[in-house]
Amino acid sequence: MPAAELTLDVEVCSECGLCVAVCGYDALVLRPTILEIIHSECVLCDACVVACPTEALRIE
Amino acid sequence: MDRRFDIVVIGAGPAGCLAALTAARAGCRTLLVEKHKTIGEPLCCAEGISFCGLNDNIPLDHSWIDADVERCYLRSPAGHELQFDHPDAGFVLSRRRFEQGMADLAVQAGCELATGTETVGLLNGSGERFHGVRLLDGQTTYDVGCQIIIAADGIESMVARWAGIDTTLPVEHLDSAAQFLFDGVPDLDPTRMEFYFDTQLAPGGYAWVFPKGNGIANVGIAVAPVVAQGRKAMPMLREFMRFRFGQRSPKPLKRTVGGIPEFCGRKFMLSRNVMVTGDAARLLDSITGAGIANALSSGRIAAETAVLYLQGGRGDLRVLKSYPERWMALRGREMLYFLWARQIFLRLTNADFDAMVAAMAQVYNGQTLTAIDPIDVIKRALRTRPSLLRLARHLVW
Repeated sequence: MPAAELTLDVEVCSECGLCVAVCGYDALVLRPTILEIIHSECVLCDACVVACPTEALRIE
Repeated sequence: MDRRFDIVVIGAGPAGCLAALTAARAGCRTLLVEKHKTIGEPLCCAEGISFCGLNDNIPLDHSWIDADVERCYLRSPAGHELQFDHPDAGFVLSRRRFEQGMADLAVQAGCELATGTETVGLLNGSGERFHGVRLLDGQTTYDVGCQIIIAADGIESMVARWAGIDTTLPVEHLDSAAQFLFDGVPDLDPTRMEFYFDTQLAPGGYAWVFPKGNGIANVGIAVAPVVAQGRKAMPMLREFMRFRFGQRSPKPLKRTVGGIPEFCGRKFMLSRNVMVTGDAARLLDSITGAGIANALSSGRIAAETAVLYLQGGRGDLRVLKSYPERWMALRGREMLYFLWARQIFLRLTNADFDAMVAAMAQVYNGQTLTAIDPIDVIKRALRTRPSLLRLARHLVW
């Protein structure tokens, strides 16, 4: 079984940037039309998952 | 270095557009950079602003406005209603026309506008200041020199972080919001803003209906994740829609989500020659979540200070310190009061909301008000609940 990873549902994400504001590890960058996850920086702290107004971000 | 400017403004939202306009009108060589191809999109906002919040910062242009607000309606969990008239309360803007309009004015004043251009880094100079920004236009990276950088890149701001300010927000210090734009909203008063308080419906926040003309309205909800126990704003908005619309569900035109960071004081506003404005500096009202007026005033004051630095400051970075000082002198008292009041707001029960709305309704229902002091309103509401007054005294302001 592969290690857990932060995943993004691009259909649900509205690019509001709230997750970027709560990320303390610079693991999320809001590019012009997509949220980019920098997996090498992500520590799976769950802050962005909690903050996301939709259910676009998940750790699975 | 490909080009040189006096001021580079990053982000063409309300803060960035007004900063660019102010700087360009003062004769500064100004570049306004926007990562999206279209100004005003994507929208993450309920678009409400008070008359003064707009007009104190930029002369009003009626083409920016979708609805004139003349009436406010509040509803408590048990159905107590408070409604009063307030002829100059404010507006519901079309953020897209508003920002495009300000950007057009800035360009007319000589500002250069680069849309579809992402800012990917700051250029480190002497150590005392940054000497420019690195931009990405499609596939091409290029450097632009400048003396002052104004960061107006919103809640997702990277510029502030690159400048050494840790703007990371603990989840306890924000609200998470969702909104639909609806056509054919039932029982819609085109001049009335509606607010709904209920700890089940909108824990730690409230739900709203803001008219946008022609039967169209922004219908949204803000919740505080710290008290929402894992419930998300978007599914809670669907619950509110069932409550507000019953069986008569209108047609959704657009979906919007967004975050409302809590005010953090002046600490994110300045680093070396980088001035941070609006949502990027977390300059939002902690009770209502309003941010446009603060974005405008911070963008304007940042640009005015930058002009002072460029034209008479002789390169003395201390001149820039008057930006956070002036902004705090203008808005600090109210913002800190709201931040304190939020600690009480998060602890309110439905019985508190019922008692407060019922007591306020006895005084204000059907009245016409000409001016509202938000601090006075909070004080009056607290006075109706002695238990809250005791709690309030325990919280340090």
